[in-house]
Amino acid sequence: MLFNSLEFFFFFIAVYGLYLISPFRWQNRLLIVASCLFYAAWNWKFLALMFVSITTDYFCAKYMDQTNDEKRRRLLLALSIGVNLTILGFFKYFNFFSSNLSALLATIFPTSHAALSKWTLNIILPVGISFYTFEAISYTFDVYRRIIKPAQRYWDYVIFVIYFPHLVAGPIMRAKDFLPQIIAPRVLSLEQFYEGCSLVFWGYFEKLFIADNLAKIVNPVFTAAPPYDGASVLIALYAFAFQIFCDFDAYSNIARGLGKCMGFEITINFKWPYFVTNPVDFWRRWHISLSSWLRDYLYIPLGGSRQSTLLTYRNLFITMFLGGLWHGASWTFVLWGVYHAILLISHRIITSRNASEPEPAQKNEQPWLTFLKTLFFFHLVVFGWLLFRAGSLTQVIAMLKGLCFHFHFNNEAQEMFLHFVGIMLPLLGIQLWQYYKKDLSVLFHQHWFVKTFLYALMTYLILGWGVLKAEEFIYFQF
Amino acid sequence: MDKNTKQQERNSLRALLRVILFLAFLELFFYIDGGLSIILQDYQNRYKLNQENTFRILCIGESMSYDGENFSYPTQLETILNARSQKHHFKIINKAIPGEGSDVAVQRLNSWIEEYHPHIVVAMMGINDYVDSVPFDKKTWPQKFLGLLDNVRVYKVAKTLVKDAFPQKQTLEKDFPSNTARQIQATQSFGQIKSLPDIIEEKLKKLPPDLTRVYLVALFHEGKKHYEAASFLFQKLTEANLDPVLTEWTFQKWGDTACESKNYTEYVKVMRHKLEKNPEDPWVAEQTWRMCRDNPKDQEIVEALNDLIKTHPNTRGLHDILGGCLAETGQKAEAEKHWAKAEELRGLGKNPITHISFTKFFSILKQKDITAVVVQYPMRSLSLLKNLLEDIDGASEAHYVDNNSSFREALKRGSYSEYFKDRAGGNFGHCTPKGYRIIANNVANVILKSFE
Repeated sequence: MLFNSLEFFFFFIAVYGLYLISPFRWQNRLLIVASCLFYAAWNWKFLALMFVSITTDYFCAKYMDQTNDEKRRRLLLALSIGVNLTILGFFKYFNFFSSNLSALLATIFPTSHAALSKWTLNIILPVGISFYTFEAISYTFDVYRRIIKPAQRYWDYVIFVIYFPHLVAGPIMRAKDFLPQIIAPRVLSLEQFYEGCSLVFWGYFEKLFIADNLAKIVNPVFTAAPPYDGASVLIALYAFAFQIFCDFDAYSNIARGLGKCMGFEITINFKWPYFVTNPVDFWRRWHISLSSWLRDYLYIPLGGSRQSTLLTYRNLFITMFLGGLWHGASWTFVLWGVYHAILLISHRIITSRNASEPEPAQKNEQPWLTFLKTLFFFHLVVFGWLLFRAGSLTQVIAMLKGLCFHFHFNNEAQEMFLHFVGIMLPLLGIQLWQYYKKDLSVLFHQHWFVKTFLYALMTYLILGWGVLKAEEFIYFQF
Repeated sequence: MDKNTKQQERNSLRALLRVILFLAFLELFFYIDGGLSIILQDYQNRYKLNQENTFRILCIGESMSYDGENFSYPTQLETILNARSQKHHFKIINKAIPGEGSDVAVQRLNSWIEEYHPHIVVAMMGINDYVDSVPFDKKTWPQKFLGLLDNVRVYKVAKTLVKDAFPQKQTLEKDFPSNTARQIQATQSFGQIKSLPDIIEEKLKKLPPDLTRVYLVALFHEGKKHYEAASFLFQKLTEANLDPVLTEWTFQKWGDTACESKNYTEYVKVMRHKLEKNPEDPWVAEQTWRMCRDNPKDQEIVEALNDLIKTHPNTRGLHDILGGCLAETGQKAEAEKHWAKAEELRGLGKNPITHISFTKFFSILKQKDITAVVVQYPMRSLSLLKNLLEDIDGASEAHYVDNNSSFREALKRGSYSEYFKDRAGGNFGHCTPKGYRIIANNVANVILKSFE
């Protein structure tokens, strides 16, 4: 069930209506049933898989907390992580690894190719698996490190994992932030409800008007066969940079908005990620829930930056390598992760700045210099998106050839550019306004007359120019 | 009244005011959007307008003439005319206004003529007059309100969204229960048996009566063009106690093969059965027309349809089908009567608004000595349009464009969705670029002929 579908609209109205009239305990029960129905609407068979993960983690965490035997605690942690990574590894990466292994073995033993190629299976990727398994791992890890106490009730933990607004594409919530909200009764205020609705509305605007319209610029270029025209590729890359941002930010905002309407505070996932000048700050603002997860559960346990310089680089490399692989079973995603690892390592070398240090105050820097740095870094990120979006390494190379050697700003590219600018103007305007005021909700803190005007304008843009057919969110495939 | 109640009242009023303001802003944005579209259209119209020896053609109408951007029929018309004519250069000025009726188009005709000095005016209009077919002063209050409401863009957008969110089921699904597509796909896969070797056919014949195998053999015969044999087997299957979906499908296969073998008696049985179930069955419409066209002397079908109409006198589809049949068998006057009845049932009839608009249209053009070209909509009879305009001064001097036969021919070769994007006009809709090209070609033919 997509957020931008009529079925979800009726589903949420029904659930929310019942939620409002239910007492606290019944609200939680309702959330469990609704979340199961939400997930089952995609494929009810994989509900069982999710409950295998949930049940394993709940009991592992419970028994971990009941014992002081370190060996036993480590075993339980390993069991929880093992089950989750096995589920994730099998459903997401089995065919990737087996096909790569068979290709490798085929080069060594050519006659075995036919037999080896039968190792791939027809596996369906369960929706949301990358998100809920990571959330589950963070829970048991936090219990192991005694940062939090395990959930007392099984069903409270169930809600933590399957709460439907964030189930399919995050944000990846931390138990210390979300569990207390599940356990205690929620206070619903009118102000919270309005803010929730505003967030949902803004999310729909980002998805229906910006992201899905940008997709119309991006998709024809990336689905075409080579040779590629450099200008079209460049514009498509710019468009993709904002398409993926708006698509994912939209989902996160809708999740946050729905959560707010129900009295939950869901973590912010994006904070003007393109208004930065270096990769460290980029990863502090892009997909915050994932980047902080990778930092806390991979980078720091590996040693972080506490060891030698070379080991720090190794840790960065492994973290970003796996971060890229998390996005999908393809070498292009891995390459994208490795590319960002190189950016981070290069940044460390150039600035000798520790990753744990806060963003440096740039009060003394000339605005034009900051602008140029921002523009430069934006283009480095855009190059990374080429690796991310391309279907294969062959396509990456073909597009690079087009960018370098076949750059013609012809009529088609001009029309693409005009469409791109037309779609981007509202987003750029609002993002700059938010950034200037340092307030993600600046739109909703205006005078009621201004707000009404802006809502009407955005509604007009959605109805008149938006893509109203339900299109999948990009991060659903992860 | 206590403080809380007063506060609640104030809050409610504030909320209501904000909602009204929101709708007002939304209406304003749609209005500006429409205005900007017209400005853009005007810019495109003026481009190259003053080139020497340019023959100017003004197109008026509604969305059928506006829709399509670079593939709208007026744009394609310009390309076609300039490609085909060596002597003249043509410039199309497109002043179509989507969503509006013929009265709005004609209201502005004088000012457009003053501005652009066209040599020809091409009009395809009237389809939107359906909504407003009763003169305003004769309407009831609810009708007046709905008529006014239809001018509110926010209301029109909301109506469209609701219609798109809850589309009416296609006719095929009305005939059959759900899962039809899958079932039809499954049965059509048997059609691949064309390539079955003879030895398999022998084995199938020797098998005991098994309905599935009977069906396979029937399809095999059909593949081999042994239509009589296939028809016989399909008829037997319709008498077997199959589930309703398969029964209907086998009726259709029986009808298909009866048509192919030109067996009218058999076809009439199928036609009766299907029209009893659904008088607007599109498969029957198509097949019946073909049967009548291929066998103009045969009256069995016409008689059967006449019988059916006696029991279903107000079924538009039956009149459409019978009209088509009568036309193919040379009974054009009778055909016109049934088509007129179909149009009346469809709701257009002799629309007074359309009649008044065309009266003004011809009067203006006659005064300015400008040639009129009147275009009928696709899938609609030209004679009906001529009937509507016959008593108007100037109508007989106009040139008329028939889009009926060319689209019906096109639909024999291709599917509906190849030529139409929707069913906005009932039995036609806004066109695809391919569909607009047909209209453009037909209009170009008439214009170029008028030069000869």
